This record gives sequence, structure tokens and C-alpha cells, in this order.
Amino acid sequence: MSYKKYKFARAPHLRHSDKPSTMCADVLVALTPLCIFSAVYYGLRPVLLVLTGLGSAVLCETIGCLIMRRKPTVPDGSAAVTGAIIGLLVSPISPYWVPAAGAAFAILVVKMPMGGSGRNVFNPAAAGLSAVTLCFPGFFFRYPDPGTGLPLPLSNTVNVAVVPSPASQLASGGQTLYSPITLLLGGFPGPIGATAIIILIACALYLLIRRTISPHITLPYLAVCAALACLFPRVTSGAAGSVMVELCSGYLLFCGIFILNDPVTAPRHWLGRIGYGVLAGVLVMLTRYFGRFEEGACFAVLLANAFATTLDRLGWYALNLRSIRRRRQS
Amino acid sequence: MSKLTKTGIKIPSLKQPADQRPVVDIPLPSRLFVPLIAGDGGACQLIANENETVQKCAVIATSGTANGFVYSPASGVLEGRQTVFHPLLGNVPCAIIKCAKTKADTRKKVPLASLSSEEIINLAFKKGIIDELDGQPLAKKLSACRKSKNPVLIADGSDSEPYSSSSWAVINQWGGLVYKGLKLAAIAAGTKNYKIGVTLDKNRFAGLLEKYRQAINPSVFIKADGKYPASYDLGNLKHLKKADICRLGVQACLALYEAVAFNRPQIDCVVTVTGDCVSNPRNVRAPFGTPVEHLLNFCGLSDPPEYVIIGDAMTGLAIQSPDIPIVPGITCLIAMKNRVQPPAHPCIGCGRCAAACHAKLLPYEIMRRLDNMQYERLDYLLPEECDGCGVCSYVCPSGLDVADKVLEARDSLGNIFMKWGVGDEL
Repeated sequence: MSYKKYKFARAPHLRHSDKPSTMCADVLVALTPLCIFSAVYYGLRPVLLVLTGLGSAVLCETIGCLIMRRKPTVPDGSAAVTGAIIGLLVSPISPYWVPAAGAAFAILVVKMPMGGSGRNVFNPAAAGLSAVTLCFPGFFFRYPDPGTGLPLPLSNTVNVAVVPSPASQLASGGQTLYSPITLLLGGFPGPIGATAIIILIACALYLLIRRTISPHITLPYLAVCAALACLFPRVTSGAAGSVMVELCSGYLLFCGIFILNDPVTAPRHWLGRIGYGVLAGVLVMLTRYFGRFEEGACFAVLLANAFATTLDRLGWYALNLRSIRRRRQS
Repeated sequence: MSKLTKTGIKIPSLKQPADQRPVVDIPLPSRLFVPLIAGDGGACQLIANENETVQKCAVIATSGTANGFVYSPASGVLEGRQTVFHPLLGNVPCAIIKCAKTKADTRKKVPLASLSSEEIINLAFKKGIIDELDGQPLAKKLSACRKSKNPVLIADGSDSEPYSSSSWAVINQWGGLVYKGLKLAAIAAGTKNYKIGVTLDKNRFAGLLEKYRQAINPSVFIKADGKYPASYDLGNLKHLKKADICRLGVQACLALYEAVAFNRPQIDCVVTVTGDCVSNPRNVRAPFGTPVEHLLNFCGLSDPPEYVIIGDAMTGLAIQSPDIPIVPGITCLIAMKNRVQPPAHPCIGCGRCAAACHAKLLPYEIMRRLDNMQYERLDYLLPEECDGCGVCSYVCPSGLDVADKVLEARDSLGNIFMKWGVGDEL
């Protein structure tokens, strides 16, 4: 009876096929059309900027793993996603070292010291963007006119005419120059991957279907941003116009789809996620209304990250208060 | 709101081809190892002597109480008693019966008297009927059901786990008898609400209704979504939401009918023998005490298995010895060559475990606190409500054994470490 013929294993003996790498691959797939869209307007330069960010993040993660003597975590794809997001949120005329520096900061300062993949408290992409925005504000928020149809030169620095983006027009107040159709089709100056609004919506749908992102974060976030834009318009074109411009300008929408839905730094419980989306929406609009820069979503995300765990527990405790009280009494 | 908090998951069905084949009786093995545990859970002493010939269905051991008996699953010679380790029962004394060749089972039908509730429950105790869904004595469940306000009995033939098709096979083959057993159980539980739950596609469901058109009232059958776990799935059916649902195994219902109609104890069970090493997956009826290896050999092995699991893939236990006997509660036996065990990655916080948990717990938070030795207020996360269905581990993309951790927290609730921080504010 005691002789052992078979191996021991713990239940369950079946697993779902999803892995962290499949989730990251989904995000990378969703980011690709944004990159292609930008290449159509500006040539190969935006693609190179995204690849620079991605390469820098992957390299830094490899170095970090070597320093920490850990098994390389590059294959899970999280570093590639961080680098690609940073690359997609810089200006098409940024020097190549800007996304590289942002990605290096994100991985070497924010992600690896916290314990690496799956253990970081703050979103690395938001932190990397915040760092380069604060350190090199001169390279941010300067966007070329996409309407020229000429590809940008591939040199490190580019001298082309800079035009005001919708976000900067909102910051200065008054009338916006861009029609709703132009805003939807993405023919306005802005970060590499944040102007293609229709593609962004399609990406969001793809990720929602794949269950890589959660509607519990994105929808409350967008609803709060829209509500605040409606209540406190910064343009003279009325509430509807204000909502349209606020949601399409800067990288507000991109942030709601890709950055806020980073599973590591967002709450896990659905009620906590709704709270997190609402908080992030309020913070993003506050940084827009009262911040120094025309777009401060990355700072708002970092602030919201700090409350993620608390919101998570509060959401669950709120739903189970009666059972917990009963437990306390017993 | 219900859509936001949707729980339970769909698991791909791996029941074919076993679910398409009829149930077959397995030839008797050379020896049976019958656990000396009575239907009421009491330990029993042998009343038959060593080397004594015992008949099928004869009492071989008793616990000394009015209802505590162990019956011989086959005719043969009682060789003695041996303590064996069983993963479900722990160290358990077993009677070893050397099986003799017997004629086909002849059953004499006892006229069905109008039995009272207490008489049916006593008979279920006496005949050692165990519900295969949870390993509980059927009589205990029916007694508990009598005390609830609006009980609905469901003979659960949904086979919500991926491999097992034994419940469906029993309904398909002996549906009329299951229905009669369920009616008896309903009398015992003092209710007129009873259903047979199945998970079938449209065509097969229509075929089932057609097959039992005369024997069973069609409204008795209910179709579940096929979500795992079945307790969640059946409990969420619209018209059953406010009822106190008591799920019964279909084999237990069948055994209850046989106990009443033929005065026959529960001495065998239907087991799905399947897996990638089994060349002829099917449902077999095996007497209790049959060694696992005998079942595997009967169905044929295409490859020597690396893993053998008693129970289904979600909650089953991997056994190491081939001599483990079949006991009540085992409905599936899986022989696997390979088993998917993804390399563990740190929790990425996707929240899928919380979204899938039908007990609405926070499995990741319980796991995190246990790993970090943050025992304070761990009991506020209510780990005792976990029923160990394993969904959290199944959906975890990081390949973590989340369910194990939650069960560890549940089982160590009385531990002194868990009292750290009790009385602190939330």
C-alpha cells in the first residue's frame, strides 16, 4: 500500500491558458496600430522613438535582473509594454534619448527596486513620463503640424514649425481650432500614440473583449472626466464641445485605456476599481485645470496608485461589512 | 449590478468520449479493500471472522449503533483487516475480501410501502448511503433539509467539472430510478419541490426529455448554464433564487431508491475513468474497495500515467499508490501523462481570482497576507467561506496556487498567530 508509483501534484490539475505574457502581448498588439497611424502622418521617426523606448526598457530590465541576480523577467513582456507606452506618449519631434531616459527611469528607479515585475507600487510608465516631463519640460508639449504630410527627418533633433495642440488651447482658454471630426480622426498635433481617437476606442474594445483591461476602471474614469468637463468647460463652444475636446486632447483617453489598467498598480476588486477610476478622473482633471503643464495625467495616475490598495480593501469591506461585524462580535 | 459581480467560470468540457458511452460493470478484482467506516461516519469493528465466507450485501462490520453497518460489496472470503492510508479518509482500517466468482446480481423487489419521512432517513443511514457530491451521509443532508424554510432538492447531474460524466451517465441510463429516488428524498425532506439539474446542449436536452417523456414529468428537469462550480450555477437559476437549495448526488438518489425498493445497501458507484493515458475512457460501475489500478487496467492504458487523480481535475487529489481503494464520493479517476503547471510568476494583480470567486472573497489578498506573515485581521477576510472549488487557481495567469493559500488560511483560523492584531481598528 505504501509504494509510490505516481507523482504528487496539487489541484487544480487544469489551468487557464492565459499568462502574464499573453496579457502583455495583447497590449502590445493594441499599441501597434497607434504606432502605424503615427507613421502615416510623420514617417518612420515615431516608430523609431517607440522602439527606442521599448529597447531601453528591455535593456534596463535585463540589467536590473542581472544586478539582482534574478531570472530574467523580460519574456513576460511588461518591460516592453512600459517602454512602448513611454515611447508613444512623447512628441514626434522629441530627441531619441527622451523616451530612452524615461524608460530607464521607469525600470531602474520605479520598478526594479520595488522587487521587479508584479511588485511595483507605482506605474512605471507614468513615473517615467513624469520624470522626463519634470526634468526636460522643453522637449514635451511641442508638437509638429500633422497636416503637412511630410515625413519628419530621422536625425536626433528636428527643426520644424510647432503648432499649439488642443490641450494647450484648453490650458490657455478660449475657442478651440479643431472640429469634432478632426479630433475623432486624429488629424491634430499631439503625442505619437494619443491622437488616433477612433483607433484608441477600437483598441479599448479589443482589450475589453480579451479581458485584459477592466471596464470598471475605464468607464468611471471617462465618465468623471466628461462630467467635470461638462460642468466646468474651458472652451467657449459649450458643454458638449468641452467634453469632446477634453477627452480627445492630450493623452487622457490613452491613459484611461493603457496606463490606469495596469493590473499591478490598480485595485483588483470591482468596487475598488470603480473608486480608483473616479479618483483618477478627478485627479486628471484637477491637474489639467490647476497644473503647470497642459497635460498632467501621469502625475494624477501616480497619485491614484498610492490609494489603490486602500480603495481595494475599502471596496470589499464595504460590501462585506455585515459579515465582518458579525466576526468582530464573535 | 449582478452583471458587475458575475462569478463562476466556464471550463472547456473534456468529457468526450466517456459521456457518449453506456455504463459498464467492472469485473471483480482479486481483492477488495473495504474501509471499515459506517454510513454515519462511525468507525466499525469486524463481526465476520477471518477466512469466513461472506455474501454480497451482507453486514461485515458494525459500529455498535443502530445504523452503523459496513456491507460486503461482493461475495468472497474475508481475509482479514489492514490499516491503509487513503488520501480522502486518512489512515483507515480496511477489510480485505478475496472475491469469488458469483452469478449475476439478482434483486428481489420489496413492495414499496408508503414510508414516512423518518423511516426513509433511517433507511438511508442504515444502508450507508453517502452523497457523492460532498461525501456526506445522505440521511444527514435530508435531516438538515427538513429544517429549512423553503427547501428545493436538486439531483445534481450537471457534472460541472471538466472530465466527470458519471452523473450524466447515471441519469441517461437509470433516469427513471433516479427520479423515484429523488421523490423518496423529497418525502424525507418534507418538500414537494424537487428538480433534476443537467447541463446539456439543446439537442441532447430534447433527447433526454423525449427518452423519459412518460417516466418523468418534463418540468422536473432544469438546464444549468454549465458554469463551474455547480453550487453557484444552480443557485443562480432565476426561479430558484429565493429557495434553500439542497443538492443531492444522482447516485445517492439511485442508491436511496434501491435501498427502499430492493433493501440493497450502497455497495458500488459509477466512476468516470478518463485522461490522456486511458485508451478507452468510459463510465464504469465498480464495487467499493476496488483498487484504482484495477479500474485503469480495465479501461486500458495507452501510456504509463505520471499522475493519477481521484476526483476531477479542479478539486481532485493526486494519489501516489495504485492500490488506493474506491470509496463513496469518488466519481472520477483521471490518468494523466502530462499536467500543465505554469511556472509561478509574482501576482500581477489582474483580479481574476476575485472576479471568479463565487464566495466573493479576495483570494489574492488572503494569499498576500499569508505570504507576508501579516496575520492581523486575516479572519476579517472571511477565508472560512471558501469551499475549495479551485477556481481562483485555475484562472490565475501567474500560475499561483491561490486556492491552496486560501484553504491554508481557512484551516489555520484557530491558530494563535491569527489572533495577532485582533481588536485593532480596520
